[in-house]
Amino acid sequence: MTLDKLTVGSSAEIIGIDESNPNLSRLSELGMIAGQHVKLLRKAPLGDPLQIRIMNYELCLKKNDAAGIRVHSIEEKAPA
Amino acid sequence: MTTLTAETTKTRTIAFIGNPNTGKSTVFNALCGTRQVVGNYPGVTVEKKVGRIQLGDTTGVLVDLPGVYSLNSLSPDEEIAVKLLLGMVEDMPQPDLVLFVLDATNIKRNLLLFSQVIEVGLPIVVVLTMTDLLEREGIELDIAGLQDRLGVPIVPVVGRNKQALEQLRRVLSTTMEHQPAERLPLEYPSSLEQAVQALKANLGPGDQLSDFEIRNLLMERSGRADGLGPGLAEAVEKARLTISKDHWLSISQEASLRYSWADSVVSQVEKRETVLKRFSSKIDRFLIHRVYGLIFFSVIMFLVFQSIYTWAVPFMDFIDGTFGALGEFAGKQLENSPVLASLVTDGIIGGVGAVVIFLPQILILFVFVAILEDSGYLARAAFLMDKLVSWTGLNGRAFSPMLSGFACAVPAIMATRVMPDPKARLSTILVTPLVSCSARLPVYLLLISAFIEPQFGAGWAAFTLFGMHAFGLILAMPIAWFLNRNVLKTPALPFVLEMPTYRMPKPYNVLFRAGRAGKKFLAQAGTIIFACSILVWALSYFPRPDQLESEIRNSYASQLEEVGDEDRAALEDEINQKIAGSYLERSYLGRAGKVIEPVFAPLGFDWKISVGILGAFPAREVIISTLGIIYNLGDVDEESSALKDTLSRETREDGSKVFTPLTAISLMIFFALCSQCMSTLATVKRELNSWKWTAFMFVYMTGLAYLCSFLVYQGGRLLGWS
Repeated sequence: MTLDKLTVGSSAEIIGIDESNPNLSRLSELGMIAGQHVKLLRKAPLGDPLQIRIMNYELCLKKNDAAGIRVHSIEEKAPA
Repeated sequence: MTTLTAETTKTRTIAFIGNPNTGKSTVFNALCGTRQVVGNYPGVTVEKKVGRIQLGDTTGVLVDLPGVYSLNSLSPDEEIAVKLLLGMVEDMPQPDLVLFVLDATNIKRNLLLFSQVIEVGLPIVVVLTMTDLLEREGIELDIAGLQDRLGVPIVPVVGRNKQALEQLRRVLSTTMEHQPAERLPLEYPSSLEQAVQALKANLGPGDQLSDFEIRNLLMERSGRADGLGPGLAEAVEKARLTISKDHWLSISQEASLRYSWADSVVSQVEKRETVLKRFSSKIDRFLIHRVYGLIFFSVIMFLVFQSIYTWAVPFMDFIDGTFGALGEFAGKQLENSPVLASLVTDGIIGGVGAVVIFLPQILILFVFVAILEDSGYLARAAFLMDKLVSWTGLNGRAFSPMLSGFACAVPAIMATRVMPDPKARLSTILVTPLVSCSARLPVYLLLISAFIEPQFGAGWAAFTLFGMHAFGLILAMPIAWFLNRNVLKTPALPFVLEMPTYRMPKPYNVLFRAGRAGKKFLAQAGTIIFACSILVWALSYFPRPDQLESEIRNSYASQLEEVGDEDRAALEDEINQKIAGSYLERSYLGRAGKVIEPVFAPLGFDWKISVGILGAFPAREVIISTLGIIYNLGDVDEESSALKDTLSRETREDGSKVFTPLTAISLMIFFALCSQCMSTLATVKRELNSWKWTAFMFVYMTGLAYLCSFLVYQGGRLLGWS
């Protein structure tokens, strides 16, 4: 699954990113790296961009870029 | 011997670096106060802020680097930051010390940049900000433990706390003389590490290269790519052979490596309680809600727009009045030399007044921008609006500056400074002047009340006024799309937007930013506009043959004798206006209007309107006073019924009306799109640091205005509207 497919309010663990997309190497520096937990907080009124929570801060990114981030959904024990 | 005093004070350069949204500028302003200079780095649009602080007997030159997340030079901001740290920027020595700002609520992400900066090999002091938010965010932080693990001194500073700032100054001056910070235990792949060490061993005695530079050289990343001595270049080539490209670190691998170190640090010094509902999340549920959020955004924008529009009026009237009185006073003093009097009153005082009058709007807008940005709302607004504008290649951050363009393009263009991506900023600046500013309003009002309202009624008049305002904004979108696709070919930076936690804006910072924006506007826009005002004045004043005035006076001589005392003043006025009109007609500007008339004829304009257009290039609202002079009406404004009547009676040589509703609309469209504002051009030149883009804006807007007016006028005639 990719990050953009996550349902709003659910959390996931990042498995890897699409290295061919240069935008994503920038995102990796912002914390989008394998093993990190990410929570999809909401989508903007028109569906794009997405607001997420990662490494205890909040970030917005484009749906397109989120589609290059592979995640697997996790059961949430505590709010991320 | 007398110059000793200058030599006894040492000067040290301190680079100030950190992530965006860490309260960096608050610390910078608290340390330097007004002892700072703002400019641009050569050749780029990155803002350069340099301040001075006194550290004992040493003067610290604090260079504020742009807020960056990493040193991998993906953006112009990062490139400048790297070059500054390495001492590769013109006229800037390599820093003696780095002051690193660390957000206490966001340590892990901040440590990525820290781990890169420390490899540059300079002594580092950390200033820890946002410690006042730790409790609210449910974070317990062991500052002493963090200091041990980073191996550099940490000074917490909240706001403008005097003791904390004093402590920071002390630590800065003691650390200045220290050895560079120890390297961090990062686990690089062994083949890369070996290559680094091998190259280090091969360095000549004069080659001082940090691990950071060596690693970048080996992996052909940016940094000191050129300017290597022949010996060094060879050594780099040799070392590069020892690692295969497979062992280079990709940016995301490097990020993983740095974050696993950051994780180990954070897990030992930070405890986070589970906060069920975060402060910012609670607010966000309303402020970026799909319904309430949009309503709130509209209300905020309306408030900003309304306040620029209305709150500024009394101040603008005051400035207008002051300059008017000043002009009158100067005119009286210089009565004996009419040329000088006209130069000073109409050229200099009138021209400068036309600039200063924008000051209240700039100050008000910047107070709003500073509050919205510092509170964290501006990022939310960008999030809400992104999709609406992103198809054009603009991004959500462009929306608020463009809307404030309805009041005035000058502050709107300055407000694009909140956009970190220079390309997105450039395209936003290029289309913002299309948004209908308040200076177009008098022109619309005059033409609509003279030609639309009498024929079509108040309903259509209001609709036309609304339509003219919507026209520019609507047209700006496809034009931005076109520019982004065909003119600005460099790829845009990815749109990633940090949502900072909400916090209370600091009044000092807000006022400081507004004041600085105002000062910058006055200082620089003033010089260009000053020169242009004198030029336009001269073109409309010269040549000035004396006999013209006497000829006109002679032709009125018999009337003057016959007229009764009660009508004498009115006749004198008429004569003076006739003289002013005749001089303008014969001036270089008037002649240019006649020469250029054929160019404007296809748009439905005669030579008088052409003169009005030419005279309005410095400031569009000037057309009203120019038309007043040209039609011999003296001082007029958009409410003036004399001007309305004269305009609607004006005929061509063949007896047909000059002004029809169609000409009026054609003229309004021309004014809606044409680049007729010196202040805007001067601001664009200053903000983009480029004559090329300024000229481009002028040409494309004016060309677009011509094209659209042409299509409207000729299309209208084909439909038989004339």
